Amino acid sequence: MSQSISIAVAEKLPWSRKQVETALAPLGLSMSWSGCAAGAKQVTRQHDLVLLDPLAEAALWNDLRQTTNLPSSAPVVAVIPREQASASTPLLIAGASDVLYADELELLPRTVERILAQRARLQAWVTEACDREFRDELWCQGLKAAGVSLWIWNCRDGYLECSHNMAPIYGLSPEEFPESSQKLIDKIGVVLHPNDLPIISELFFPKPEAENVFSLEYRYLHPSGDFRWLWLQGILERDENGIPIRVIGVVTDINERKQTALALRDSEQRFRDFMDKGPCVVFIKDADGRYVYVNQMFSEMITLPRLQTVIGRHDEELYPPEVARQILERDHEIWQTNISWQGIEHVPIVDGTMLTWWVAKFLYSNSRGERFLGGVALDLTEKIKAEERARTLLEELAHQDRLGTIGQLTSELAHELNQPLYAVGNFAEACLKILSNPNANQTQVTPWLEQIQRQSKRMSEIIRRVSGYGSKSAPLPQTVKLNELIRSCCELLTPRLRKEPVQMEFDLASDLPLVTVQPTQIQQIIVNLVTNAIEALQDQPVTNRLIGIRTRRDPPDHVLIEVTDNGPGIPPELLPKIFVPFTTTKSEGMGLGLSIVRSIVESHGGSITAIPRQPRGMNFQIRLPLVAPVPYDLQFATVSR
Amino acid sequence: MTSNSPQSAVNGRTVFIVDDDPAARQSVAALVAAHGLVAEEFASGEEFLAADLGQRRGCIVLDVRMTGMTGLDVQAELRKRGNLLPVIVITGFADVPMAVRAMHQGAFTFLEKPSADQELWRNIEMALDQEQIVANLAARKREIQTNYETLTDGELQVLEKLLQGEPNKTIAADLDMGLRTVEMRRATILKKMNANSLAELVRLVLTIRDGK
Repeated sequence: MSQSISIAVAEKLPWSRKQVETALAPLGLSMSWSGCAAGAKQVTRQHDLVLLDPLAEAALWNDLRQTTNLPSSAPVVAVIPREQASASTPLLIAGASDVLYADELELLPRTVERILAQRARLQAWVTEACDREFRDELWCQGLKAAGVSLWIWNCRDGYLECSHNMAPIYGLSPEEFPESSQKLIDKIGVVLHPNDLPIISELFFPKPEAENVFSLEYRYLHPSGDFRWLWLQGILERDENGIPIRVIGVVTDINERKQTALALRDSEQRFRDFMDKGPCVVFIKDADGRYVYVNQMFSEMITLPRLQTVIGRHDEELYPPEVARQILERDHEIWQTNISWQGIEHVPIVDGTMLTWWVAKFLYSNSRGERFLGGVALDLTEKIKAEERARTLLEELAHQDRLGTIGQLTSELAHELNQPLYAVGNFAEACLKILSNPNANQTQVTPWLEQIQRQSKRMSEIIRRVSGYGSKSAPLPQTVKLNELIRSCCELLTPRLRKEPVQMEFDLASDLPLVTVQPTQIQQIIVNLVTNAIEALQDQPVTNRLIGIRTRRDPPDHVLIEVTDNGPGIPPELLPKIFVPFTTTKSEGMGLGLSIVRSIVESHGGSITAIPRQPRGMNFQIRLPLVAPVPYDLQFATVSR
Repeated sequence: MTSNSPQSAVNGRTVFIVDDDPAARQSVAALVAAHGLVAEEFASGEEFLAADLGQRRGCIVLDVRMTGMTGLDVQAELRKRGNLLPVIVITGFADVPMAVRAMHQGAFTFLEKPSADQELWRNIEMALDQEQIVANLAARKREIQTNYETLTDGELQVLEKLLQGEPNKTIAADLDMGLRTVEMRRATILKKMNANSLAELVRLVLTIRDGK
């Protein structure tokens, strides 16, 4: 490789350039030349070597001297006349790389060689230095990027060394980070979480049997006041006798990860608690219908002893074929339509009893796009039983109340029945009388016999009316015309109304929609309210007794029934508790009537309010939904998207 | 014929039926017709009272519980008007106070609906019998009254004394008249009053006086 050299030569030389060229020829360098007119800075920056006579060009020399101490500046070789030899030493001191006499230029190659060698060394050194600096920088950046810090603990002399990027980990600025080992130990020692001190001290004072590779997590008190999590990995170095020499470790700030992990663990725990401690049965099935998750309640209720676990099982393995078939059909539909479903399912459980649960089923996907069918079910068996009991109780009470009402109405009803009975008796006797007389005109009995027929029909009609009312009602609601229902029970009250002359005013809306109710119970409401009203009106003049029944639509899906009277009304102090059982203003009676009325109204999903009228009287307002809620165990299913 | 009374006894008499229940009313009418009697029906107490019965004979079958006037009110009004036809009070549901009131108001009888076999008809017959007796009595009274009203003032003076049991002599002395005059007037009185003896005369006079 041929070296090149760029030489700057000052103008005023005691020798010619030719002489220099000749002198340097043996070195085999390719040389480029220039003058020094550009000024010292340019010269030293652009050239490898400067030749000048400082004595002849003092100004340039002085300029150059300012630059010679720069590492990158070109060496300056002073060429002076021999007679100026005394200036050599001051020139060298001043920074000249060498001093040659003008008459010994043959020495120049040696000087140049030396200078070049020196420059090469310097350059190598600089490159190396730069490299090292760069590498350190890289390491540091790498460490920083990795979020790790290095430390070395010398077990023998108890000396701790840390990389400086450990400062921010401990929440310290680089300036705050202690230099000395002892300070470091002090500083770090006090911020350790007390629970983690033992593991750290075990690390710093390793037992002979300690593991050579370790990984542990510990906490320290961050200046923010929170304990933060660090992850420490390292190796333990031993001497040839197995005695620990030093521990080299890497510390990583894993607080965030740890917090996330803890949060995840909390959330998982929460999930588990939620699933296992809640009142619901929860399950997840995969696309094949295999259970992939069930909560504790499911597992306790459904897992047959022979199966050990439900996970991985199909419904066919859990349930009798008929139950499994129904469930699978439903699941299939959900898979096909992707429409969530909720409704009632009946499933047998481990102890053999049949469970009625409300279940919601829905599809969802996990992060990998796998689809699952999730289900949440709530056991309604007890609720249904309780509801049944309540309903039976209400029915029983209502029945008793109706029987009571019938008891009250007995005299009127007896009269109602006695009329036709009396007529029948008389007609029959008249017929007998005629038939016993052969001379009598026999044809006259025909209308009487027809009358007998008509009256017996009338009697059975009365009996049907009463027995229908007195019977225990069928539990299933029926869709009926409310106005007709109201009229029919007023028919029941007709004799009563006749006995206590009361004027009835009907204002029944013609646009009333059909309602789905328990007819007998609704009749009972009307009978009770009208009976109450009749009793309230007892002390009023016959000419001023008015009971009104009014029906109206109550959009969007209710009907309104109002039973009004112009009686004395209910004392204000009693008003708040009239629907409470055993509240009564009457000398007879249990005070159950209105409470039964309210129970019935509420069992129909409606409400009742008692409003005093001005100037006198009461208004009982009943709001009923068009369709009474159906008990759970009867039919129930809704679809929601 | 189950009836004991002669058919003639009920001829010309009417059973008045007051009941707001058409069937009940018609059935009684049928019963009455079957026995060959005439019935008249009224759908309410007001209607019945509005009809002028005058001197008509018969009996009344009256229902208690009717819309409007009750049977008992009708009965009270009839009594107030002096109508003496026997009233059979009938009710579908009886209580003691109702029965007591009906009887106090002079009901012939008080029956419940439905009545036992032939009870109603038996009572109608009995009521008609009674009515016959009362009617006979009333006719007799009217006859006595008519005879009584033919007596002159002088004869009435003697009659009063006779009723007090005074002998002729005392009467003559008290009235300051001759014994012969007294005897003559006494004979005239007996003849006018259609009495055979003094005892009968006293009975006849007391009959019309009791009625007052």
